[in-house]
Amino acid sequence: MAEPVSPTRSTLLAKRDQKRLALQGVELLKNKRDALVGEFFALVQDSLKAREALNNAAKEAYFSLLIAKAFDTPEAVESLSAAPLEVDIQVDSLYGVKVPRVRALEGGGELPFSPIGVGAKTLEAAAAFRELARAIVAVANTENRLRRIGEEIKKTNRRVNALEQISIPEINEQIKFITDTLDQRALEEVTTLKRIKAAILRREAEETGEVSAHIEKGAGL
Amino acid sequence: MGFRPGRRRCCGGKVLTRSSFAYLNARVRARRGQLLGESFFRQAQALSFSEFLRLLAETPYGAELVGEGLADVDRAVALHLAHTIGDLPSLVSGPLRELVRLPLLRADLVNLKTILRGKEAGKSPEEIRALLLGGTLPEPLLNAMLQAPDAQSVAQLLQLPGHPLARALRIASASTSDLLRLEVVLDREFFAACLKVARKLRQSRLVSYYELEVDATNLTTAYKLQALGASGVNPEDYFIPGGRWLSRAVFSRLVAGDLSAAEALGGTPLASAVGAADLGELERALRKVLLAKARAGASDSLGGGLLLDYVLRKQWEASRIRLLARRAYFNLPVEAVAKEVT
Repeated sequence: MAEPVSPTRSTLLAKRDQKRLALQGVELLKNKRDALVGEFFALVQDSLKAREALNNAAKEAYFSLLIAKAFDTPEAVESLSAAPLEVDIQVDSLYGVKVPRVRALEGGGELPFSPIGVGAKTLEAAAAFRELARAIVAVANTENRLRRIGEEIKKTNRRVNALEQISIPEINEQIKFITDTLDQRALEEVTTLKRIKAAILRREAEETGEVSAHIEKGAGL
Repeated sequence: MGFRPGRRRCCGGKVLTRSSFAYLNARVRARRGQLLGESFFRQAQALSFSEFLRLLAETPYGAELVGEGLADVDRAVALHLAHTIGDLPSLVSGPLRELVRLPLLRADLVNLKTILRGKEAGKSPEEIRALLLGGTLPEPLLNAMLQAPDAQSVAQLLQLPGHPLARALRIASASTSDLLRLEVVLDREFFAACLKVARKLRQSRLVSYYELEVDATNLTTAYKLQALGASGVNPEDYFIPGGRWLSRAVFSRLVAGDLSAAEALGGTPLASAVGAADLGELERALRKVLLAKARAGASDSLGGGLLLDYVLRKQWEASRIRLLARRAYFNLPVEAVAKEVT
């Protein structure tokens, strides 16, 4: 439902400006949406690769783990499970969208536990799980970016639709209403002027005694 | 190594008699009869998990097998080991008990490292408790250590006269709280204690075995450090003294990536492991060398060799069962584990 507007010429000018601004906004938002969609599809490839890397890393890690648990006992292997993985998080701005960039930091080469007496399979499992943790971070990075960009695309789409389907038609309607009202007023003014003119002419004719068909008809009304 | 008839061996004022070993070895020999044969492992390689459980239930492990999950198999194996190895010290007394406890000292080493790692990682006592297994540490002491807030408190609580790891941990924790250094100290002390007891009791076959195990451990550690590419590592910190064939210099060269240094091991019992392509192969080769060395010592019916061979074979048997159970449970191809089991 369109909001009531006062049908004045200044309002009409304001509404026309508003419409121009809305059309510019639609154009900009469409450009932003296209750029985000491009970025989204580029990231989809990265995301698929990261997922595949995660699946491969998980297979390798869990196979190493089951072999390690068989040789070094499940308890001894699980006791080594506390080495943390450090990550670096930065926030990038992508067409005004804040997206986090998460990256697993390379270890400093320090040993998390004594290698003496720890089986080769356990070391392999530890290395494989470190790789798995990195793969999880990579997937988290790409999928989180995808989610943020996807949300922004949806939001931009909603804005474009709102402008195209609601705001701009509403403004158009208001402009039409104002224009119609102004036209109507202008027509009424013209009619009034013509009647006044006809009345003046009639009075002048009565004074001079002239009879005019044109005047009788009421100045063409 | 056996005793000559009529001889007695003195150690620490106590006397090791021929009959002490005879009794222990008779019991061990009876238990050796329960070791699973190769036919079991050949048969188990290609079975489904339910078939594997049925086969395992027919072995001495069956008595401990309750439930039908992988964790139940692990529990059955752990309980069986506790019954067949864990009770060995109770069969003897005096200095011989010290010798019999040596294989169990490894479980103490693992348990202590687990507690220290758990404290460092901020795990709850219950979480750490679930990861402990066997060993010689008394239950109340373990519980007290689990409640301790940090490594130094654990070391202070570990007051066990004559326990080599307890003393080493106390001394080390007084100077450092670095977990890695504490672990290395415990690892070194474990081998030092094994060699010390074996030498004190004049068990030349055990001494020879532990010397070889020290060499094997140093060799794998050198390859591990080299493979891990750990920066800023001083090789000296990880070398375990007491070995016979692998010198400190060769160890340092191997850690630095100079693999030609391994040529120095040619003609030694470790020679067969030197050409290994990767760590896994190296470990398999060394395992064969150590098991063969222990088996050679098993002929020592009046010494500790038979016991050592039994314990090692039992532990290897447990590893193989755990591996085959996992293969069957996860339905992996036979080839995936075949080379590890044989």
